[in-house]
Amino acid sequence: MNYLGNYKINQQLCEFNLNITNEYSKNYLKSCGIGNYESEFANPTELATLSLKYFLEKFPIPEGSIHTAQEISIKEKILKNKELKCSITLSQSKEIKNSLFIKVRSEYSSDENIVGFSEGTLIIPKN
Amino acid sequence: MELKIKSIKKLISEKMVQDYAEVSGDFNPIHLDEDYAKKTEFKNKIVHGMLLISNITEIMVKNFGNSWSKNGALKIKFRNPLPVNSNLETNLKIKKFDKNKDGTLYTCEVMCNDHDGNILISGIASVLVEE
Repeated sequence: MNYLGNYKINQQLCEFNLNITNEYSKNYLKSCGIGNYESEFANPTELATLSLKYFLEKFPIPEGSIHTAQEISIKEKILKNKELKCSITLSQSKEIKNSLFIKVRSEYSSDENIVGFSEGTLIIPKN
Repeated sequence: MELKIKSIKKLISEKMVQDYAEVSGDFNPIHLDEDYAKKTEFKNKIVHGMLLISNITEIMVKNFGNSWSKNGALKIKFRNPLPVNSNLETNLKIKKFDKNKDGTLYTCEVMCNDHDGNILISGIASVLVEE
């Protein structure tokens, strides 16, 4: 079975809660070599990184995969230390030669309001 | 109107890649295992794509401050990989700005290059700076 082959387009892959804590943000900024920046709000790339971490725990990406594009958007400011809900769906899946071209979309909500989204595009070797 | 902002130059070290693997949970051996990487088309360990785009956060917060965290948006393509322990240059050009009732919406071209000028990432970042 190919990666995510059990899922249909727009089907939810998983849902989880995530929280950009001060500590997580500090570790993120340090790992990226970003100094002299503090904010009470989560930034777009740390949000997508933490979401990726939870996603990879459930759906490890096969070796040989290539990340080809990424979109991230914050629609409403996201306070750190506040729990968000993240819903992940398979937004596209196409077979091209010996690869799968897939898009995985994460939608972030707080108190039932959508506050942002991210979408990654991956090329995955077919089994 | 086009306004080029001073670029950010940085070495992406092995330590950064290891630390980023911890925060992202991405332990793919192409980023971390030299023997594995040698057998791939890249011949070297390569930096996580999502670690590269953190440099866009860095240049955006440097120029737009907290607005990037409040409402930033990004759409990029990964063009080429960066070997671990290589220099990265991140560039930002303001392509346009539109004033509206909420503030000024800046649309920027963002690009990351390696030491030889190869494009690694290109795309658009936008941010609303509130009045």
